[in-house]
Amino acid sequence: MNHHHQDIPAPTLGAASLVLLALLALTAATVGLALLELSPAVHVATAMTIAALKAALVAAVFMHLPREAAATRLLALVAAALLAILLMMVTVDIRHLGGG
Amino acid sequence: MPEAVREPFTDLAHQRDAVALGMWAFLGQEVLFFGVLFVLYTSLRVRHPELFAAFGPLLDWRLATVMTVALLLSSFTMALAVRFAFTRVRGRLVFTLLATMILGAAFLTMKGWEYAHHLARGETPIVDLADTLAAGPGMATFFGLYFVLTGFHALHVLGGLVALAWLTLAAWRTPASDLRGSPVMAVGLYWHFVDIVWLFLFPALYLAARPT
Repeated sequence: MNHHHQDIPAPTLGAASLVLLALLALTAATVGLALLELSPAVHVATAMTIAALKAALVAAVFMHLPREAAATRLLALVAAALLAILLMMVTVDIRHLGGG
Repeated sequence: MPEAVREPFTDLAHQRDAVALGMWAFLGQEVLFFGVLFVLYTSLRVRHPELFAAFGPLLDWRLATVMTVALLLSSFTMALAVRFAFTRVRGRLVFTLLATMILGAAFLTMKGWEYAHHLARGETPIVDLADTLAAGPGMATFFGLYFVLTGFHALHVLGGLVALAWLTLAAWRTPASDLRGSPVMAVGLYWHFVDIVWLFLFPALYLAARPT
């Protein structure tokens, strides 16, 4: 296989610049929202949603994940999903079931 | 000369795929490691929200915002370095690797400055065992969490800097035609992951209390 015809596992300068701008804008949004007077639950939910969005952007474009082999994508997806389930169950346990 | 295909692979694409799969498997384990730390965070945040309201404002969210920008910029230069490694543009590869290192070092310098200030003000995880009035969770609990979470993250950044220094040296010594993309890609994946961890730590710690 000719090396130069291989898929390069990194974004072009244009795509990387766009993602960088989006990440900086989302950072500004997180800080801006934190300054607003909202209930603590809304604060945590919006901050973590924005963080997850930023993480997804980094994984999708900088880390080239959507174009990796199926096994690689599955591995990353399972890791993220299991972590989310773990954190959700810990929260439910402490909040409502008296655990911790 | 094309990048060398090593045993047991028959072509470069498979070899690169295997490096990517191996790296993601390692990152999956790192998710487990930081996941446990985030469970500690969640447990404390849900059970003792008052700690975050009381001591959260002692963290410098303005400095942390600058640190976030530094890490985001370093992920940008790292992504470009991977591209230049695969297209074998040696000058730009060395430049982007050096830029990534400088931004990472700037992050650690700011972190160190922050730590020095907290320690100087007595904002530490250290508990005075003779002080019976201070029983129960308090400032030491909050700063214990803060130092454990940010400390392990900073160690990961430090590890990344060592790997980047090795890559830069290798790129410097290797003729453009012999440059290998996979090692740069592997370090890049690790670097982006460490950036992602910070993207969660930043709001979780610095923006937990309403910034003032």
